[in-house]
Amino acid sequence: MIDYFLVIFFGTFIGILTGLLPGMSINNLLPIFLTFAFLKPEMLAIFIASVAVSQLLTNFFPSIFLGAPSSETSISVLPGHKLLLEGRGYEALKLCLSGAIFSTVFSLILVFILSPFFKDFYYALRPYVFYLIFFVSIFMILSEKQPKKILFSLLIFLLAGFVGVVTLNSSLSSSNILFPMLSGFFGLSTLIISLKEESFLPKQKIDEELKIKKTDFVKSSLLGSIFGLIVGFLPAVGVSQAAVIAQTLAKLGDSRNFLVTIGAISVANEIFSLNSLYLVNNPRSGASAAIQRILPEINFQDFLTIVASILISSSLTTVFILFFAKKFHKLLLKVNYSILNIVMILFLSSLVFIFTDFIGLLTFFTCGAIGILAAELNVRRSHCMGCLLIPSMIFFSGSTNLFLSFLFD
Amino acid sequence: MRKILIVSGAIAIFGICLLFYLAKTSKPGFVPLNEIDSTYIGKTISTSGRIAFVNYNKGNIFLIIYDKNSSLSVPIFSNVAKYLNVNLKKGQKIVVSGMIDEYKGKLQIIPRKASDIKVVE
Repeated sequence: MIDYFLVIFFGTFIGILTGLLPGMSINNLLPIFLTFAFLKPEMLAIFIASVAVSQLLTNFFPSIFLGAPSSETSISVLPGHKLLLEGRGYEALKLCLSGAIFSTVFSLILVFILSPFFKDFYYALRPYVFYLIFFVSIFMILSEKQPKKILFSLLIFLLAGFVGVVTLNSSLSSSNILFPMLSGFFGLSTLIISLKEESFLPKQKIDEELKIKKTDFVKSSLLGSIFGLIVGFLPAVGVSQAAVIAQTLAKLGDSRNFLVTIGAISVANEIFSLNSLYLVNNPRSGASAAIQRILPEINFQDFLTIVASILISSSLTTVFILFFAKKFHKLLLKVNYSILNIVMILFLSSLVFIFTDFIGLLTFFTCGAIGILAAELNVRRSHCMGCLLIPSMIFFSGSTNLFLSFLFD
Repeated sequence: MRKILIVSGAIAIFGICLLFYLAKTSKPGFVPLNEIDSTYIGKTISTSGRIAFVNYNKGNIFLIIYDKNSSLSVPIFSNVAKYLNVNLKKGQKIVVSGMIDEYKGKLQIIPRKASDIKVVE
């Protein structure tokens, strides 16, 4: 038994270390993990699950405090940065992590209750996903209200969508391409706008108070858990699209509600992805595909062991990251914020180049420019999510090949 | 008009044009058959395998290719199949490029044009 705990601790430790480095996806590490022949197959599976969950939760830290997101947490940069500049960065992080912890419990309950129906639900839902994404996109653009702003937001949505189709569906697509794209739209643009506006970092309030109503917190977490599970088994739809759909449908305009929802969606999606082998007999993420290779015949006991490792790992990570944030914010205040922003731009650019080469760097700067354009046109930067919503719409309409032939042949 | 608006707009347009040009001229990355999983759904890739099954049906050609312990369906629809100038047979090794999709829970690669399918052995 003690060896299982040691493996979870080790996995959590690795997840925290790699989670602090934006762009370091678990998919980059899986080839190394799969060579760990000294671990029994079920132990290697819980190790991978622990790394995946702790890395995901840790990603919220650089996303909020440094404006350097991973592809999964990119959408949290905007509300997170807003609260950081109000001196509430710690609260922003705590909101994400609280939503995530609540979602861990709630998603597992949902998984246990709904597991017999997942397959049927998937086939029943799939024909309607196109309409769902289409109407959410229309609603999102029209929510700008003024005709001029609607036109500008449509322009940003279409420009981002074109970048999405070109980078995700064409020959340029690679497993890491989401990182430069989303980091550009939400990370690079935030850092450059902060530089331009000469923003400074106010003293951060480190208290345990969450300025959100209990009912709003529960509503946002539940909504996030449900959406996270739905996108967990839909191909070509990820955490960011789910966050935008949830935000639009439930009118989560408030930054705090949105952060709780993002935390909840991320974890629910990860929990479903990791357990998708047992639930729908189909891997839904790089980590679950790796677990399938290790445990081709996954049984109920393996499923429970993975669930337990997720619970332990997410709790350990949350405690550590909140402790780390309390210490880190003092260091952050000693640094000139403009210099920090420049260092982060250079750091992100280097990571993008290392992980995705020249194509990634070009995508990163193009998307950063579109993000800044959105801010300068005074429309919400969330319209940049067209980069994922448009390719998803094309995919679910069943016309990707037709569309690609029209564009590239 | 503010300077930053013009600069960001120009970079965005230039970047989009360059990305489009690169997408149009580059070849899809090669992914070994045994590494293709659902995370590739919606992506355009290239892979190779030996034909295990061929079925000609109403102008469409349905293949199953394999490599070691992995297999993948390759539906070649009539709009592509009519331009194929090779006769596909069981045992041939082919390299195929196309988009990864899922049909009835199984992964498949859908070629877009006849030149996306090449018989190599």
